[in-house]
Amino acid sequence: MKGQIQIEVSNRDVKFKFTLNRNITVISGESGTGKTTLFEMIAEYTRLGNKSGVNVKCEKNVAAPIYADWQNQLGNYTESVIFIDEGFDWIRSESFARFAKNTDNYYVLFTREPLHELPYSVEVIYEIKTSGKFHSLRKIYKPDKKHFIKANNRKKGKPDIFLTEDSASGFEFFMNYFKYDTIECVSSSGNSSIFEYLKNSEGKNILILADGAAFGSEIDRVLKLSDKVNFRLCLPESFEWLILKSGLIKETNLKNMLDSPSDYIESSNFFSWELFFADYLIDVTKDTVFKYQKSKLNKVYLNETNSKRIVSEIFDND
Amino acid sequence: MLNIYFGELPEELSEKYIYNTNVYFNNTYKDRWITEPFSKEVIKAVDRSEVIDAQTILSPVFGNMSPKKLSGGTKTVLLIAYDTQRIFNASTCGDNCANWILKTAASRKVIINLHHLMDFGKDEFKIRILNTNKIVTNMGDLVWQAGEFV
Repeated sequence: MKGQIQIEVSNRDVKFKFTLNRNITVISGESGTGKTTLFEMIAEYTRLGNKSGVNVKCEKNVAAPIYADWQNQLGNYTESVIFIDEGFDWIRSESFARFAKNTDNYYVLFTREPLHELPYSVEVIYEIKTSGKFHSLRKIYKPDKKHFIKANNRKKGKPDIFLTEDSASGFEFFMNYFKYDTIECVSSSGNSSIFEYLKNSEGKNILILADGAAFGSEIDRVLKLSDKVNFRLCLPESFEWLILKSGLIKETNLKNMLDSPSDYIESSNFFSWELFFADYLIDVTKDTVFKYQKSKLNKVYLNETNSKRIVSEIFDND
Repeated sequence: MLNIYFGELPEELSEKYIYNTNVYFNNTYKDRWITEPFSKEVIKAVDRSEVIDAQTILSPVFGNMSPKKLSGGTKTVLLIAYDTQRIFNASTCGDNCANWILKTAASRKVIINLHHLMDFGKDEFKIRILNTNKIVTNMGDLVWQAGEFV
């Protein structure tokens, strides 16, 4: 399934209205905001359809599993929006992640738990905003124009360490970018190692760059370290997305795709957006001087002019 | 004092453990849990609702409703407060329940399970992290000690 999905769910008491932008959405936040109410309305609608009295407006099928044998229930759905309540502990399981990866459904997960098996974006973590009987979704994490997320840093200034979760082309690129600088460039080799790295870096000033498209399960604990560790967190979609945004690559459809990725990303083919951007970049550059591969970076990206264009999306070049 | 086990509970505690607190509350709660002064305060603060009697809560959204329609967070706080034989999954509680959980643990030993780093606020507190048996007194230390388990 691809595209933005608009959903309106209402009954005599409440109305929820929101838009889903990606295949995985997480609804979190404070208690008493209406998460359980929304889930129960969808569950009643799943059992009884229109005869439940719950009014659902959505161009796709909307459903909620209501039994423990989730695999049998979810196996029946295709091109659907599936709502899953926090009471189901299997949402953090590897088997659910494997299952969801191979479907074309969108999933709305009510939980505060970090779901380490699922690659979800920081941009899809919401809380419910309530105004009387009307409920909508509000993003919990709001990056600034340069894709930095606000943390409680005690001091700014030039970082001592540039930490990236990338260990392949992205790391190679930034090693080269900072080669004449005093900044030490380090790879954590994955998102989940960033927390531990920060814990071992007290007293250092660290700039972290990670794929925002898959950092959802780490964002909470990493940000909560900012009382003790001095860091800044930059979360563009991915390294390949930075290249695509740089203007180096000329492709007819590129601007439209970057303006509205969800219209181009089929969720059953790409479990998270950074996989799509890498695939797209490899595809559009295959017969060009910018030929891209993940494992070894084409030197054309390393020259000063091109490097500066790539980082201009996240850094102020001066 | 509040004792927290972060992440998966060890096997020996699983018999006492309730993950789906919503369903468990609906099937076990006692009328007196609703009308205790502490419960009235929690329901007022978290759900912005008034307790009329043991069967009736006045909600600004739903009007008169059953206690079964309370939020998942409120239900979990009440379970922690009154069902002292069980260990509950408190990741069903938002940060607006944290202070109420601390209050339940002010005069007795309370054990809960968390799968996320609940924010217990800026004030000092005393919480034992059962994974390491260390006591922490502020959020910075709690995140430092417990972050690797969630």
